[in-house]
Amino acid sequence: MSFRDLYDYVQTLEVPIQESELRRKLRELSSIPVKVISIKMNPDLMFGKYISHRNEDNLYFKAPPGTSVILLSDSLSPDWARIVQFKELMHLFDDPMQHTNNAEEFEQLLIGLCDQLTGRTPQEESELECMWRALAICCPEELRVELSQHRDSKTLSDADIAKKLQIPERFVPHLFSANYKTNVQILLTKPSN
Amino acid sequence: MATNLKQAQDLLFGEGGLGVANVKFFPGNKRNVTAEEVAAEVVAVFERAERGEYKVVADIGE
Repeated sequence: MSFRDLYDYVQTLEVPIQESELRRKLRELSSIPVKVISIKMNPDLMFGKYISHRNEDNLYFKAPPGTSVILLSDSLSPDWARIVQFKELMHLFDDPMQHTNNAEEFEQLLIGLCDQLTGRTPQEESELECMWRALAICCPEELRVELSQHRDSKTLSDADIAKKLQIPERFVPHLFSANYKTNVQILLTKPSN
Repeated sequence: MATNLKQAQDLLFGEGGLGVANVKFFPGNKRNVTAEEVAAEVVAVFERAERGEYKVVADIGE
């Protein structure tokens, strides 16, 4: 499955991009079943989690093995829930090398998330890549260019753009950062997983 | 005494555990957290899930 397929599809959609529409397209592209649940989490520590499990003896989420389960904190506002779900859905595109599938990689991932000074493992790279993918699918490129012009001429504020895309304002500057196009281009040219 | 990290590792990857093929996180508000704190939250979330304390937002095959 290639991120390019999803990205191209998003270009045909109106904003705000609907979570249900993305899930439907991802199912079509990947055939991987996805279940999304809302659950209590300590918001200081975690807003969301992605898990794909293989053991049918442990059906914590009443989902068969192979299902991708996305857990969202039940304290999130709708715009935060949207971006967290988008980012976690993007792990369907993880390269097998980026999967966290043993105790050592899990420990490294937690340490890496807590300590920005350590070198990046493939698993941490995946977290960053998925954040950029999530941003890229929030806003079709033609609209992003248009919004960028309004932002430059100050006819639209970041708050206005956040409202239009229904994402947290904190993420808006990243959509217009100097490295946005380069980062997205890298993701679009990555081989399929 | 098992650490939170060890407990989370056993739950996710140990014998009789979930057999996790991939797990990832969206970090929370706090920046200066430790792996032990996050691991404790991982375990706590699974305990809530086991008790069925969650709502389904979207199900398979919707």
